[in-house]
Amino acid sequence: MYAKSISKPKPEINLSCFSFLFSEIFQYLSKNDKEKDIEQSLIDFANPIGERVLELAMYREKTKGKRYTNIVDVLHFIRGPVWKLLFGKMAEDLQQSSEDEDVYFIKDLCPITNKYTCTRDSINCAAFIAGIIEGVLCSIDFPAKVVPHFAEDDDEFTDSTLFQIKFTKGALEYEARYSGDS
Amino acid sequence: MFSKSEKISVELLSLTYGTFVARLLKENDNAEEVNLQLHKIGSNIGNRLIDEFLSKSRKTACKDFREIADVIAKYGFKMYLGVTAEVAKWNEDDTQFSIYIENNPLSEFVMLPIHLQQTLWYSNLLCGVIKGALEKINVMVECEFKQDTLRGHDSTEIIVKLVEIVEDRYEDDEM
Amino acid sequence: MLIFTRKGDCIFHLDLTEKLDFSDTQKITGRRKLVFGLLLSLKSYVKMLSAEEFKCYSTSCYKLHFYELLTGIKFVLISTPKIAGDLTHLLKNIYIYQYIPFLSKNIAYELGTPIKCKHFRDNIEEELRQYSN
Repeated sequence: MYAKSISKPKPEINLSCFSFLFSEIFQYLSKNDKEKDIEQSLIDFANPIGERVLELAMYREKTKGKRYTNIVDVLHFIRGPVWKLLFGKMAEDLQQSSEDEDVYFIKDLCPITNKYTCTRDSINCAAFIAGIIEGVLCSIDFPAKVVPHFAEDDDEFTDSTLFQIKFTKGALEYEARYSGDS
Repeated sequence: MFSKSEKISVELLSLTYGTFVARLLKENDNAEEVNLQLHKIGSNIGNRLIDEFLSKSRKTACKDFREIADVIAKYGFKMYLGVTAEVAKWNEDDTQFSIYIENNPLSEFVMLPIHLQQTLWYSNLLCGVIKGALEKINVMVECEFKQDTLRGHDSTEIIVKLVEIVEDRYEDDEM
Repeated sequence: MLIFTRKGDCIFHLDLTEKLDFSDTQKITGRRKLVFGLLLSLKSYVKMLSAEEFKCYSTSCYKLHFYELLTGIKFVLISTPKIAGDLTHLLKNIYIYQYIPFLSKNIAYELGTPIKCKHFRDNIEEELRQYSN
């Protein structure tokens, strides 16, 4: 029964519902996680979600058990299927940093977490999504640090966000080991 | 009427909620405490949600508690959770009813560990939402779970009990 | 334009005439209380007279528009008497397109507290100015 219920996408539901829940989680974290910066709390909170999302996305893509050995493949997997599963669309853009080899950016034009927040100057609630990405990467054996940045080149009213993904040494070594094999 | 609002995947909602409940369980001593917290948080959500609900459903004031019950079950659950709920089991003087929910999206991927099955009301947030939303339109209710399929019951049932409908009074204010 | 809660706390006050001196808090609170008291009396007065809802009234020097929600939040707009009809629909739009997304759903806003969200204020100002031109 479990397998049956996860194999096909479920009907979607009202975004407000998530927004209200998210807003309470935000309040809860800002009260109970005082020693941490709120963005970090959101990231930590969302990490375990990433793990579950990965399982679901792989199941849907029928790639269960497949081993990803290459950073770019992993990132495409996140930008495509993972994003689709979560938000019903692909992420806008995927780029490699021009300065650092181990840094990549995924761009989302309007992260749902920022839809109803007007805290643009200080806090980027897309940290929650960053946390999910971190969780996914971690469970797929490519640990990375993900940080949300407001995209600067855009009109001030869009909340377009760049997720900066910096892979750890471990992830790079992991990739190198596999590419060496093949 | 419902198609206009933006959509989100059920998975994201249920996984987020699940993670939140897990977090609450970790940070509180017992499941009863978590039930209370969920109820409280739900009622904050209800306080906010009611404004949007009224504006989208274009509802004018309900004439009685029976109508309120219908609106919650037919419009409220449909608009926010995409499921319909049944109203049943009215008591004699129309002050208490039950809501039956099928396919509660919050508990989509959930299996409760045995030790929580007798104590945790996983979706207790919903009771809070109902209470919080009605409170804002001056209808005071008590709301609690009676059964939950997660606990192995046959159905998911929430009981809503009317406490009182208050009138606006300003004389008491120091105006 | 003003917004009141059910209890009568003024949570938003925007003045486009720039004649009000907001630093004089005593006078401002006094003014707000007067407006709120007036609303309540008018509301019950209108209720006694007819089944219609109270939407606006006008004097020779100003016109007051009113929109109240079931949740008790009250939107009040004071304009010149020259405007034709009532602007309840404008207040309704503000409620649906500004109040709900920027406040009801805003993480940073606690219900019933004074509204500080700049975005909200700017949007309303824009909307009102469009109307007065």
